[in-house]
Amino acid sequence: MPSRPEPIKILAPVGYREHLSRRALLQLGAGSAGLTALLAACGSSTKTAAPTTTAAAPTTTGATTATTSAPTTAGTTAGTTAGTTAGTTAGTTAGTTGTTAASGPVTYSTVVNKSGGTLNMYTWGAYNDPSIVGDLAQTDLNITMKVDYYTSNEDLITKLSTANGSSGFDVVVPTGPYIPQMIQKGLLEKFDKSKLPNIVNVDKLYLGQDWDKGNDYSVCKDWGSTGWMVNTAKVKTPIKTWNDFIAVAMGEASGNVSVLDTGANVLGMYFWANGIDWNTEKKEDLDAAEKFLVDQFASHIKAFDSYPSTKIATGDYTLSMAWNGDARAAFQDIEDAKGDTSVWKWGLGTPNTELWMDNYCIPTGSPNPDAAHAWINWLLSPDISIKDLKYHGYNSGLKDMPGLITKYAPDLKRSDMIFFADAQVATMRTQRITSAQSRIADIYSKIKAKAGG
Amino acid sequence: MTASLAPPRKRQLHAPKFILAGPAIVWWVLFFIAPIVFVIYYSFGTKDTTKLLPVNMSSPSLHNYHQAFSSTFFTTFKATLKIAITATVLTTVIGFPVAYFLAFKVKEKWRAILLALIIVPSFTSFLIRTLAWRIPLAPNGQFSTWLQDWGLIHGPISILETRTAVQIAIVYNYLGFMILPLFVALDRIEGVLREASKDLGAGRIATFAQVTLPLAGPGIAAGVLLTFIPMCGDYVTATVLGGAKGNMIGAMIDQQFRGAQDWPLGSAIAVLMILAVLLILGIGVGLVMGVQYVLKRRRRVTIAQLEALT
Amino acid sequence: MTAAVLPITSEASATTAPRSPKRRRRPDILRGILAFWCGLVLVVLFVPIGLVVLHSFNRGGSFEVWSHHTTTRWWGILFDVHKAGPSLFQIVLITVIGGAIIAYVPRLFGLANRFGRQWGFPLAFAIGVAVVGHRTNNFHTVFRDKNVGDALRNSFVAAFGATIVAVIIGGLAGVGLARRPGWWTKPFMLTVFLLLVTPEIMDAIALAGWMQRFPAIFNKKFLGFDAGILRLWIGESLYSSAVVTLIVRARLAGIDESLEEAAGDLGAPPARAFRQITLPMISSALVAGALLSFTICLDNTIIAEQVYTAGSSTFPIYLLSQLRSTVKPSVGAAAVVLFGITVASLGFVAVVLKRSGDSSSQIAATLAGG
Repeated sequence: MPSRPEPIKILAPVGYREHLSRRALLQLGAGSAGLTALLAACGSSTKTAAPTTTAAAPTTTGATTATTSAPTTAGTTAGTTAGTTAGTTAGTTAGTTGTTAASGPVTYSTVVNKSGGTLNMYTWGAYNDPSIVGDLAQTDLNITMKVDYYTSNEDLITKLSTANGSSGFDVVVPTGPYIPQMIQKGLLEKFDKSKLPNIVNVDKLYLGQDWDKGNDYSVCKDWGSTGWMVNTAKVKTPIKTWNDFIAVAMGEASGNVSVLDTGANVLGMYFWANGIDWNTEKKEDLDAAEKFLVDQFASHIKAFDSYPSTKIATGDYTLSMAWNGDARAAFQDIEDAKGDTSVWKWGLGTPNTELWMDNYCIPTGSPNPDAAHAWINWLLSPDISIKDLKYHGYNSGLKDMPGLITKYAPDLKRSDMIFFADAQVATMRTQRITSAQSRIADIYSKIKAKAGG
Repeated sequence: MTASLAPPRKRQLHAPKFILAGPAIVWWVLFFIAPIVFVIYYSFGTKDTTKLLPVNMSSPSLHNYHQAFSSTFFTTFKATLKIAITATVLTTVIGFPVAYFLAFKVKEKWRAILLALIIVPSFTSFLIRTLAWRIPLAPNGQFSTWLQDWGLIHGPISILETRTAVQIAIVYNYLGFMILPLFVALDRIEGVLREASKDLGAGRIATFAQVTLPLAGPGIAAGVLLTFIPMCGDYVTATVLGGAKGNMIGAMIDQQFRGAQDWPLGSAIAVLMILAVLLILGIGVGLVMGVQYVLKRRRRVTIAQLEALT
Repeated sequence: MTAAVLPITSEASATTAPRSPKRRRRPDILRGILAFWCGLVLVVLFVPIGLVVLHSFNRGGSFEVWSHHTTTRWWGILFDVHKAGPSLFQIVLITVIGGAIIAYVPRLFGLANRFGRQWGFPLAFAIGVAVVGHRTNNFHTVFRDKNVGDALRNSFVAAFGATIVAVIIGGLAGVGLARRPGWWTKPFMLTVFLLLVTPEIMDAIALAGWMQRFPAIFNKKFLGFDAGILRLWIGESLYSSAVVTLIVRARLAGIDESLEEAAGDLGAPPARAFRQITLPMISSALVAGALLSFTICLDNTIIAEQVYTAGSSTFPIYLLSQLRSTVKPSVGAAAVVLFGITVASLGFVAVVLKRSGDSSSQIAATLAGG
């Protein structure tokens, strides 16, 4: 049992963020909490009560359940919400799995399809638990796994393109906004949904995203955000916003700053700091970004590093732009190196930051699609998903995350860096690939070249 | 009586002289010359990410070269050349005494062992040796702590992710490749020449400057060649140790190809790099030859002068 | 750029006549300074290697960050000790016993057996490796960490194939250059020069683009090997073949043609003369070139990274991709294994060349590219 409530919130698709206000959320939360307390007192475990036992845990989860129904009933009263919630969850629970009171009968499909042969995965670094891409896959699925790594979606697309559709990989992990162009270039294969029964375990909010409405090519692996890690022993200015980040990067931490190795993130930092939509296509915005980043900011950058965690531990950086999971891993690395974790502070980007979702996809010409399906399906089962989560530190997007955490990872450290409050989620923006992509790549090359001089 | 000593030679169809090199020629044309020709070809095109091979050759132009010459890319060019030249000079300065020692001051038995000790590290994995430098250069590492404890530096080492780190690692990585040709060159000098010089009364410095050094000239040139050019194209060191500041042309080309998917620009930069390197080599060779020519003229002793002496 | 290897042994210091006492003292100081400098350089050369070995025992999770404690678990993670230990033992056993048999048993029957004595042990080693390799499914079961195991295996397969190609085309070309020079020599040597001198990144991107144009050839399996291995063979063989060419040419240029002419006079057709006269003459150069090429190809990073496809990543590629997340100490362990193999390979080069009468200076000359 967790010793303190996990403030677990979930992601709502961008479109609905406009409709949700703090007030509505609080109303829904309070309403559901009341209702669930009432029903919990009755102590039933029928299907209607399914959401209630989950909500019997800390109040905040009630709000979670309520938000699940938000898409269908935006800004409605609590009563109707509870009913719709029951309906939704009842509909999706097929069969029962032995569950404890804490996780409630939010049931999951735990089909495990054995396969065979080798599975070649091309993914981001430090992104899967080593046993899940190793021994465990061998025992549970009879699959031998081989993993190669990349650090940017562009690398992935180039690799798949140059191999002309026969790269030899079976599973790749692109970030959402890049999927449409991959589909258009014929780089991805459609799923055989009959081999992915566990897809029902994914929280509905993460299915049907803009880039792949039918989940024909992709399914959510996890989602996360972007922020910073700062060494407060060396930097006295508190960093609350991206503007502070930029100021410190050009001031106290100059020459010891690392930024993520993607053009979108570096330009995003500028746009968020200046209140501009980071998906802007306007020439004047891009010109302004180029002018500032190349002429003023670039020379202060020490490194373009998407995984600053190790180097934070070795003391290379004073200030780093980082993804939340990697920043969380940095704390572990610092402990390993007998360093002082208390001087390092993580901050989520404000006033706006990124919301990215990585997805499992099967590239065209995959040599072993059967194993690919079996493995992805296996990753969607709750126990394996949480085991993986403990390693990579990102929200893996299944239904009822709090319940799963309670069951499978009750002593999860630093979960505030994995699960975000609703208010925080409301500030996150997904990337869109626009006509500005080429310009962004150009500007980024220039930033890199200038940073080297 | 005429006896034929050998059976009459048949009139054979002689294969062309280069037939033995045929396989090599075919292989190299197919997999070296042709691909590079294509790279040069692509350098005139434009980036087109809608195609699998993202090059659009419909309107060839020099705009990639213009972009490569723009100030931002050019700085990396200059930085790379600076690193390479400095590293070449440093490896020569560090390596020459070692080569001299091995060639002239060591017995044959020891020479084999010492040579082995120099060759082995130089031929082991380049990548690992470069990666290994992250250990001593780590700001929070043991070495940094020692230096601070001994008062040699006032804060943690901050060399990593800078050009200095790249410089150090390049000198280290290519040291062996400079020592070997230098050694071979010095070793080939016949001992009798140096002895004769000493017998004729030249001091050690004079012997060194006027006999040893000039005779080792070609070898030194070979060593410089073997190190300077790969240094210019070095990509691993910059990626592992360089960070943003230690970026080099080789890494930049890779970034254009894989990251930005801008093959035309990457090709243009690659072509420019080769041209720049060849240009510098040409200048270097010209300088050396010029100096040699001047020295030769000064040292020339005609028969008339000799007769005048006696 | 290269000159023939002249069989001169330098005896400069050995033959100096006794000098006056004053003269005898001075060389010592210079020698001392130079010896100290040489020692310093050697220490610096070996420090990073020593650090790699040390850090493969690092207890912490990262390779670079020393945790002040040691553990052998990374070696245990890399190797399946129950398989690796016996395998190593078997290889050693076969080498020793097999080598002894090949080298010495024929003598019991009165045969001279020069071949056996010269090549007995290396041959037994090769047999040992082959047998154990077969037993362990190409060394697959020896490794616990399959990624590293496969990366190392791919490194070897790629280097081996590339070496075979390099030796064949380089050997032939070297003979051609030494024996049949002509108008074609200059452009050919220019190509060799370009091959040695072009930065690898240029070759790499050129090949990557080139291979993409012909997916029918470069994306299909070849002789049962992955397409990726074929690409690696091609990419890695370029530089090696140039090196072998130079080595063979240098070796042959130092020997005049009289033996081959004699063979021709005695009625041997050119092919037979080549097989029975020329080939043995260059055999040591070929073996040395092969070993050198193998060593170079094992380490090939830049070209390999651009042309490889999934499932055929070599150890340098694996390392590079590990750099993009965290490098674990087990990587250090794998690196030590690679060091050992490289050292063994270089050792073989030295032995082979020494057997054919080279002094250490000549060996150095060969390694410097002839």
